[in-house]
Amino acid sequence: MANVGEALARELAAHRGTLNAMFAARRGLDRTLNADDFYRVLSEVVSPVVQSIADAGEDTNACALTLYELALTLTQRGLLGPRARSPHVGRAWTQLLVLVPSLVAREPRAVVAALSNAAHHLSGRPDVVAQKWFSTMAHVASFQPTLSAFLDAGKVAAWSSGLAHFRASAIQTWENLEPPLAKITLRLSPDDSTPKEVLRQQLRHAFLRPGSRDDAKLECVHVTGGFRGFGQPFVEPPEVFTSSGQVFARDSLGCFLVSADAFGATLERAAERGFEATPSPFEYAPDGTVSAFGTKRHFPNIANAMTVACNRDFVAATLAHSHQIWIVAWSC
Amino acid sequence: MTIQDRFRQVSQAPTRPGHEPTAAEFDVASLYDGPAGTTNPSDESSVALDEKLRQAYFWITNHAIISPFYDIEYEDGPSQSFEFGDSKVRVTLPSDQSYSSYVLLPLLNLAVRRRCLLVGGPGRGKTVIATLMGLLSGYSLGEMKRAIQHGQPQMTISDLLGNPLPSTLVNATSMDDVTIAWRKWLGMRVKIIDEYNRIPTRTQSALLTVMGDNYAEIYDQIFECPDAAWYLTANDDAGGGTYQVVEALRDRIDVVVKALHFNTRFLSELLMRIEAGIKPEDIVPPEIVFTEAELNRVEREIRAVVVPRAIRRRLEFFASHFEFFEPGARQLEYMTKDTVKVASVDFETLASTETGKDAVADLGSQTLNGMSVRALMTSLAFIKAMAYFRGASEVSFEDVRQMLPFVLHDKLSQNVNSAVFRRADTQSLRADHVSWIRGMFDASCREYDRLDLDKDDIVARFEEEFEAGLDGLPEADVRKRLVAIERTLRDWAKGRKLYGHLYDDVLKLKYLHQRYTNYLRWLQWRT
Repeated sequence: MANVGEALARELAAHRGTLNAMFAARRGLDRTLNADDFYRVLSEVVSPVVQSIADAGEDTNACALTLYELALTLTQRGLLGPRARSPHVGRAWTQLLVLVPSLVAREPRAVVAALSNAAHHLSGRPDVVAQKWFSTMAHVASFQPTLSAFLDAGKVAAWSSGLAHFRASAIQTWENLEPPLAKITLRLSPDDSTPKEVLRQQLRHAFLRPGSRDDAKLECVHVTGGFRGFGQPFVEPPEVFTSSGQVFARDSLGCFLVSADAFGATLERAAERGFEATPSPFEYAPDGTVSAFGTKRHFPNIANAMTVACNRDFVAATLAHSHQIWIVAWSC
Repeated sequence: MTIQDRFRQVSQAPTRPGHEPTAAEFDVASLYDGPAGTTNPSDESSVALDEKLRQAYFWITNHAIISPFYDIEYEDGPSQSFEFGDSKVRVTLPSDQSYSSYVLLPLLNLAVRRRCLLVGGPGRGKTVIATLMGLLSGYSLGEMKRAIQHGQPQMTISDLLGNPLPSTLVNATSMDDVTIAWRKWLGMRVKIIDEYNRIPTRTQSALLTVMGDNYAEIYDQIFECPDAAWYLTANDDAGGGTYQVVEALRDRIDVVVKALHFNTRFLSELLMRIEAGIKPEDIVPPEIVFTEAELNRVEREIRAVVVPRAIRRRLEFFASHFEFFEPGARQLEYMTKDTVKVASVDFETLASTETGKDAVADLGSQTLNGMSVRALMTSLAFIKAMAYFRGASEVSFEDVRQMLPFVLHDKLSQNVNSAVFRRADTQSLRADHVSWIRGMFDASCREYDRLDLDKDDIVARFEEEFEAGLDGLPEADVRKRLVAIERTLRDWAKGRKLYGHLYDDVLKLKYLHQRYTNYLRWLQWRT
């Protein structure tokens, strides 16, 4: 087991009584809280962050107690330490917090809790989403942003990493980002020459990848959903339908909003609702041909679809023998 | 867990399990909510404030004020009830989450920023609960203690509002040159006036301006106060005290809450606090402290709670009983209790001339006044706040039933000479205004159901027709509607006595008739 670094050791010594009492109080509430586990969290997770703060010449005294308390909470809830259900919260500390020591030193609770919570949310998503988000945020951190810019960039990065249901509110947040962060969070190079106004116009179309100069065409952009036995939402092949301009999917156990754009597709549980016709530029033929804007393309995978739903942005199709949903859109 | 930790423990969300939050768009800000707690207090969108309000309530009831009462009862299906003694005192075990008015009403008052009067004997925690509301608004205990205005017979306007700075007073050549050192409490979002009925009458008038109009004035200088939740305390709610409370000041009070007695079965709790040296005011958990932005958002969200039409109609029907007073005038429009009051005529003398009505069924006979516009507005604010507190986006019948007694407590003056109060079984209602008003609301709803107004409300049909607009309405249709109104009034006039609700309906039909008549005249002029 690694020892804690010099900076944390100093703080532990200075606040020994308080910190021990804090641990004892939590232990009184939760007998499963293990002292060895927490020591590992201190040495492997908290210590690198405190050390980065000390190395940056910031005061560790003010934030050490907060870091200790938050680490204790997260360990108690099974999100940090050797028994953590997912490695992502630990990664947020050791890979991201160490990159923004000044922010952690000045606003420890705000920044640590935000990144820990975000990493916890990403734990429930495909790994690729978390990978993209961590890499984008590491890039953002290298610009030494302010706290609000850093957190705003995190929100936009979550969307551009694949959480399509956040699209509308993330675009609002994106509007406030300064140019380098605005580009990084859309997964572009900070030196990309596309003006923000052009990006803004591209963002009006859900399936136009910002910065892309390719021609748009009909494509099967995502395949989402799946069988519950494999950790996906459906117990039986779902039906898709439209309501209030949005596409929903349901099986006998629940109803989900299908969100999709150039960055990804998600299924979020929604209240049960009825079908409402929605105007759409897309048309589907039973042989799997989708037509839109005077163009046709044949998609043999979705021939003889069990259900099809088209809204303004995309076509969703399901098959009688599959738990997945195919999404076809006009994309580039 | 230490005793201090125990007292700081906040009830875990959800405090009302089973309640489905209203559907919302996905907000990327939710990314930063989670097990590590609130991330950024300035990010107001990340917190469900109705939940926070409930957590504050449960912290106060569990750890701060020993108020083990559930007098605001909600039912979710059948409830067990038992009757005690000859007078058949009913004890109900509510089947849904129920509340202590003594804690809930001050909290709702904080949310809607109105004026709450806490009444009860000394040592019942009136000032403590008012102080806690200040602490929940983010003020420190020191600030709140300094901000409490203690009513006393020598209190001057300067004591209350502030003083002119002597140097500017000496050098001033006009009033504009005088600088006032305003008292700090005027700028606070929670204002506490302790024992307000001990304040001299002249100072009460200055207080009235601050309470009613939200500004203070000395030497022609004005201090604009922010919107605030007011808490006034009094040992006697009958207006007694060292000085008689001016009526206008009493009228400004929106809700009255009684400090209930101490249940001796909870003495051990007091003992533990004494032994541990704990004062709840010292240990308010930060999780339940509201920022100014959050309180603004709570107020906005409460205003957005919907009052369904069916509920609104019941409230209208209830309110309609009280103002009408047939012996008060010859002309219909003036047949109100206000006419009699303004004329300083003896109410009883006139009331005795009223004949033929069932005094028990006529709810209007139980009061000396009607419900003012202010009373109705306050009722709506607290009813919405109650629904919001329970996590609902719409007001329910029970929200209305539970809130009205506290809002109307001092607003409806009881007519103790009414036949209703001559019965032995109603004597207690002369002291227990909460039960009296709730009983009247129940009686009003029974009458509403008897008249089947949910299904057969002819005035509502006339209203709907009218609200569809007069633009392009042909002359023949206007005439048809006029005839329909006249026919309705004729039918009503046959053998139906005038009660309050019918009085308002008649006036409404007269109004509609007049609007159609004017429109008809305009149509004829145009052609």
